Amino acid sequence: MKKLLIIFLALLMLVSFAVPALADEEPTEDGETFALTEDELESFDDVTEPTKADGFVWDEAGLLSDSEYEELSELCERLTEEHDFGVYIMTVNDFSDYGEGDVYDVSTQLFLKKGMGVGSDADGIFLPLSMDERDFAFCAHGYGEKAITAYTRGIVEQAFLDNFRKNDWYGGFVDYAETSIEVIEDFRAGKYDDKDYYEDYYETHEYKQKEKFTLGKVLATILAPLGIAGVTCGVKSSKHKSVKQAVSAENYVIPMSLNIYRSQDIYTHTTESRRYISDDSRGGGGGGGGSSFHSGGGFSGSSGKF
Amino acid sequence: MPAQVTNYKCPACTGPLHFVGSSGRLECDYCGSNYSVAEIEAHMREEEAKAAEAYANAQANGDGWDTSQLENEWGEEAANLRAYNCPSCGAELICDVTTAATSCPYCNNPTVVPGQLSGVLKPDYVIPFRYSKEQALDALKKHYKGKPFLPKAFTDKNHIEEIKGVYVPFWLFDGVAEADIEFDGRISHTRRSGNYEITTTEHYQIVRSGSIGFSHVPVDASTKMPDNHMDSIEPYDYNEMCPFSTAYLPGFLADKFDVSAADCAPRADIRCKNTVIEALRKTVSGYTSVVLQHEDVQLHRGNVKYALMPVWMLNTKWKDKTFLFAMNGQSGKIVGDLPISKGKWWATFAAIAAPIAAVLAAILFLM
Repeated sequence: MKKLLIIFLALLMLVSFAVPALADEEPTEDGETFALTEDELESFDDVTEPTKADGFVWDEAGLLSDSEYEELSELCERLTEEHDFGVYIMTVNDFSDYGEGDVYDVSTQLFLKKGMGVGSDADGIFLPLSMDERDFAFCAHGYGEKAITAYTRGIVEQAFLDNFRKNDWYGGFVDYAETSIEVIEDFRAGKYDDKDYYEDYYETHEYKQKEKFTLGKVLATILAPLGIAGVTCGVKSSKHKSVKQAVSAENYVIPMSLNIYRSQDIYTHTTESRRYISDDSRGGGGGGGGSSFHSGGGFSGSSGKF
Repeated sequence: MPAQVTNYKCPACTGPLHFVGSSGRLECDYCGSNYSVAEIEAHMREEEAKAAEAYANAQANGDGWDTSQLENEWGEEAANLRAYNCPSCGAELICDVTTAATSCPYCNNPTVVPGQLSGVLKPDYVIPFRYSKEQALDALKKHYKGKPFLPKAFTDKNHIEEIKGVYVPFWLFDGVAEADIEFDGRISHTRRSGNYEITTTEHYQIVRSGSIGFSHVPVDASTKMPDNHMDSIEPYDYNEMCPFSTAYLPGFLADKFDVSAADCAPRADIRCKNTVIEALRKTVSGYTSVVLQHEDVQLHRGNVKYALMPVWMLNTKWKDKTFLFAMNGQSGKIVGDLPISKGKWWATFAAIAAPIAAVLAAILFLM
């Protein structure tokens, strides 16, 4: 039964890979460069281009120092040229200033409007961060749509999300660029073609999850009763102790003798702290954690919070 | 060394009188007569005046005892002991220097040693016993109830080794505590944004200055009495506190203080200091958390009074360990730590843990 389920899941995955892949096989009009139709261009009229564009990195939110900006631009340019696959980065304060829809929708619109991507299929990946609500979108187009699957996007996300959660912007972008290209090349090399690879992955993942769950149940069955019994016996034992030193003279306060001379509550400052909450139920597979997978419309990728 | 003890005799039959807490009167077990404290005090003054007059007359006539040949040197032991003669049976009573009232071990005659309670040692107040010895024993039995881990043998085979009603000396401290306190107050709000829990905290500096008055903060002044037991049987109802009279003492032990007011004062100081801080803390509200940052407490010490408080002391031994119980002779509040049976403790632990584990296992593994 379990095997049947796994086979069904694998088939489902294959179908999900196959459908967009088949769709991409259609040649473009000029046969060389990816181009939008006039209708498509009209649909992006509302999309506002970031002002500080240089081709690979846009830092509207000002997260990068000048040297980091230069180094990242060089890295993206070099990777793009070496691998014929566009690598793009953008930071903004509020993604909604640049288009309609959620962060993923706006990102795909920006990708097309700015003419990102390399070659006839506009192969490329794009990672915008929106700082106000700490949103990210990771979208892949062209060959990237095939290569970035529910599984591989998890590999890329794992590489950059831990940096972003620590506000390490430069490190996160470098990890994103290098890991994405590594995944694309692995995909090209057929590393992920083998069905067994996925089966092994999902079986191991499932086994680990199950093992974790079983261990949790065993611990709960042992520790919860011990804790409850310990607290109950502790409360009952405390009834045996009735002798203690007096620390207060409340019984001997002269009635109405409390006289308050000064009572001031002075506001000084406000602090804010953030705690990341892991939510494994979101974002199917791949270990992305806290993100959701998107596929279709010529793109694949994910979006979420960091 | 005072050799005379006071024994309140019944004016009707000369039998010994003792103070009964429930009636608040001195009663005679022999003829059943009873007298108020005021009546007996008036009678005693009259008798003492007559005796003094007779003694003076005898000395004047050369009929007095010649004590010039007696040995007066008792050595170092004399410093801690006093000897008296029971006026009822003539037996010699040897007491330590702090005992003011006791009963004769031969005839059980209640007596008062006036030398210990005169002059500067005279208490200002006394709270009379309201509970009898029998009521103290009943209270102890009730104290045993509702203690699930009390060893059965402790209640079944255990016998109270000693029970005594004691007037315990207390210093009563009056004063005012004045404080300047600073707290760090925080108001926190938590909201969820995506996969982040965002906590916003507003910080406040809270300043309070004020004073509070105290009246008769009690601190026991006897080294014989364990401080924590004496603290635990509080409070006393000062409305029933009377000006001191030895007429309340017959039938009970009474100690004089052996810890000075100056030595007891730090205990009262700490209690007053804690109370003023807590009183000011209670005026702070509306915060998620309040932490004391700074305190400056000034104590304006006032009068100190000396009072005798009624306490029933009961002790027993079990497995070579002494268990001491104290009961407030006025309110009936009884305290004393009780032993815990390890067998009962673990049996209860298992009885709670096992069914919960079984139910949890059934829910988590079978369903």
